Amino acid sequence: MSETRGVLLPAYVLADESGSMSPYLGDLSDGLTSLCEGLRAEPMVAAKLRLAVLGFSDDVQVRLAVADMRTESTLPQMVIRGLTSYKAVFEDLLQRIPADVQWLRGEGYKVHRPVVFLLSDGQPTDGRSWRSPHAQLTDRSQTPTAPNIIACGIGDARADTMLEVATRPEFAFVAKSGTDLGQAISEFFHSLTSSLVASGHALNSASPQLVVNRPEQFTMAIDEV
Amino acid sequence: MNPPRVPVVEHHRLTLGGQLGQGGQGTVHEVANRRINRAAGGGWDVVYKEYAAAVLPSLQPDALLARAELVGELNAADAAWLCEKTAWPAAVVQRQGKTCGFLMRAVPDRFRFDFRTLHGTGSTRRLATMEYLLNDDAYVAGVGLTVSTRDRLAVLGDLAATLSRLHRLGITVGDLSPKNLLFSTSPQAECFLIDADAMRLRGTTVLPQAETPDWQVPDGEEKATGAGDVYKLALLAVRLIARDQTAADPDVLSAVAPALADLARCSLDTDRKRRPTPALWAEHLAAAVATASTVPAAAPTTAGPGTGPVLQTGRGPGSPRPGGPTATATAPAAATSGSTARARGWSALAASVAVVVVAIAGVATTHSGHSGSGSAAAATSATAEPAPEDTGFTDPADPDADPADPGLPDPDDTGDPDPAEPPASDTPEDPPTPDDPVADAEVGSCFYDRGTSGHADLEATDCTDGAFKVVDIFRGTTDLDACDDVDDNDESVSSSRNDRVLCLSYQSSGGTAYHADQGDCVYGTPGGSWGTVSCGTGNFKVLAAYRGTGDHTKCTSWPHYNEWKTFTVSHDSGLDVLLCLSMNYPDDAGYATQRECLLKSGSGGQATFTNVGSCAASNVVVTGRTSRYRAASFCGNDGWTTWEPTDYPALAYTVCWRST
Repeated sequence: MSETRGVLLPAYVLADESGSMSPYLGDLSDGLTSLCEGLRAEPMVAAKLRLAVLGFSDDVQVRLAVADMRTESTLPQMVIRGLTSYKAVFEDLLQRIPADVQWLRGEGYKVHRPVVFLLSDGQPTDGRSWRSPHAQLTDRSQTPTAPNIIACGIGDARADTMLEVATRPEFAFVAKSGTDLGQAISEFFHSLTSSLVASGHALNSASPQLVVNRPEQFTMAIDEV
Repeated sequence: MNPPRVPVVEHHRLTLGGQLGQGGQGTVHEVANRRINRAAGGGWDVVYKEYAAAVLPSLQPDALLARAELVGELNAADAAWLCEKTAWPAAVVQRQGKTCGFLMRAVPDRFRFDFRTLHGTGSTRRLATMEYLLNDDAYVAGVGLTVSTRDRLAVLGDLAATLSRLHRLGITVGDLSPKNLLFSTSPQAECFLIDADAMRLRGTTVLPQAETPDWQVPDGEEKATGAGDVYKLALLAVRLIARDQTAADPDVLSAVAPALADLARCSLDTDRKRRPTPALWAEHLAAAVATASTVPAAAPTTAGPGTGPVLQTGRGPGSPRPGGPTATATAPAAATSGSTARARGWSALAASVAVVVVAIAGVATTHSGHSGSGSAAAATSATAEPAPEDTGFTDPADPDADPADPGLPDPDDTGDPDPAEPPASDTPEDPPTPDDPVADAEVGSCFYDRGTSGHADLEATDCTDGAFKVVDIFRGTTDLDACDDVDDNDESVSSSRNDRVLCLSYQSSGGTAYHADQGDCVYGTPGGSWGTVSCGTGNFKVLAAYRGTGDHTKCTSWPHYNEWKTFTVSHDSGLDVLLCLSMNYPDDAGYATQRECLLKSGSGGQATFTNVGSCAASNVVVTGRTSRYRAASFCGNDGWTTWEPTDYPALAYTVCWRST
């Protein structure tokens, strides 16, 4: 039989915990709950995924470490705090992702290219300083484990920023103007779950592919520019 | 006489309710205005599966219609059974005369369970798919299931019996996977099969045969055969007991019943000729159920954050996962295990394995190189990947994949083309020839098979040693299992072009004893040809006949075993035969052991010794035994009886006895 223990997809959910998300903490928690429960109820998908949930603000804090959702007994809790530092996000991922991949390999797994889902409700408050770590993170010659990044903007987040963050133009989404933010958050997690479930099936099929579903109430950011 | 009811419904006549599920092949909806089988307590709820637009071009509407019509063609008992065990297509649905889906019964409620959520605010009703059972006990109990090892074996036993009957009806499951197998443990352990439209019926399929990742038959093997179903049944057996989604080592079954481990090993053989029947699985599972543990999976004992096992298999605590505050790892809860079989029982179990191994030699499912493989060539893993229409967009091939990082495959670089598809180069090499051996074959014709595994390449020849002789022909079918009950069948060859199946019997240079079964008597001189003979003193009784092996150590546990015979086939060890043999001695003295009581009748050279099962009813007791002939001095002053077979002097004996 195979020498390896299978191929895993590491998936990182980066949720904005800045102060402006305060009114939507309930929606954020509900969304994370439905994501985690949705994966737990799909054990064949959960077995092929390792989910991490990171809250970002002035820094990045781990709400769920790379987990097999079948073995988790609690749900991640978000904490509203501080500003919106994209630099903190990408500097963190630049360290975290290679280390996680190395760890998973050490456990005997092969690893698909990691995927990052970023949900932000505002423009970065740290100006342009995030572009350097972002460039380094997404450059596959510098970072062999460079992730695919899907960026979803709600509220004040702008389409052009989402397009800069996402690794492909088709991976950038913004909520339609006038959309209720709570509903947009809910839709983000809904499509995230279905994308991961579909990817979990597709990555192990004869024609592996990452599947990204557009959240309801969102448009592709590329259509906005 | 009423014309047969044509099971076709126009889409606009359906009142659809909510969507119940979505997959790569289509979506399933509730149907509000239809019932199936009203005779059964008001009937069954109906659901509608609509095929995705992406799969319609490869849909075979006639094959779907044939499924809907099957229920009316079967006898009442088979029809009722089929509808009880599967979500069999009941009617074809069309839009303006074009097939777009079908109706089937809704899943019976006993195949659902209350899925317990983590945050403890209740539960959701979900289909009880087998996938939930292929995880450690903490997970199983955590999602709200109460399942013991006995339940697992009993569900598996019901599945084995179900497969056996499906195969008899000309149905093979094909994509047997934990996603389309449902289970119930109450009121009794049983299974229910969904995605029945994907099953293969009499060689036809509605959509190209697909397989689930980690649930594929060996590379190059034809999909959706009976032997393929048995392969996957064995995977399921291993994984249900291992509580793991990808385990494949049959040893895990030894703790439950050694016979099951042995059966799984045969079933996972890449040579499908060596795989046993589902009926044999059912038989052994029934035996294993009787002794298996009834203790259900333990509920999670840890409620603290993140203290569940990080690793999914029992390799002990892993290294802590990085980056988290919750990095402790505990070993999975120990699985309950069943008792092991007794030594004598093992012999008895091995006996029935041997019997059925003979029977399954008929599943030697090569298919003709001439068979029309158009549908197979179109096969894709349609169910495994979401159709483009279902998704926003996909990440297509990454042109800039990093070659310097081979250990990190891109999502698009781990795939390989469908291994079951014949290479495209087959087609030009394989034009129809004027003398088509399959079309011209008659019972009694002989062929050499020049083909490789999975593909026969028949060449007509005289009926000499090393040839295959046609022992039966089934017309109007390509079902390779048709030969299962044909005597001496070793290989089945189907041709869809000729719509027939040839049952072939290997002509061994070793003689007709090659096809001997357990209980037959055989004889041959050492190194000579062996034939099947009527049982009598001096010839051998077949204790067990093993196909596909020459390993005579398999014989050692058989009572009265004292000789073995192998027939080896140099170009195909799958055709090897091992016979475990027992000499037919003149009377019970031959196998008597010291202190055994016997009834001696007659006297002198005419004396006969019989084991009557009771010392009180006997008149002599055995005082010694040697394998030398006429060893009178060995017996001292005791009486003795002696015998020697002409060709096998090593099997001679002198047995000493004393009157009681």
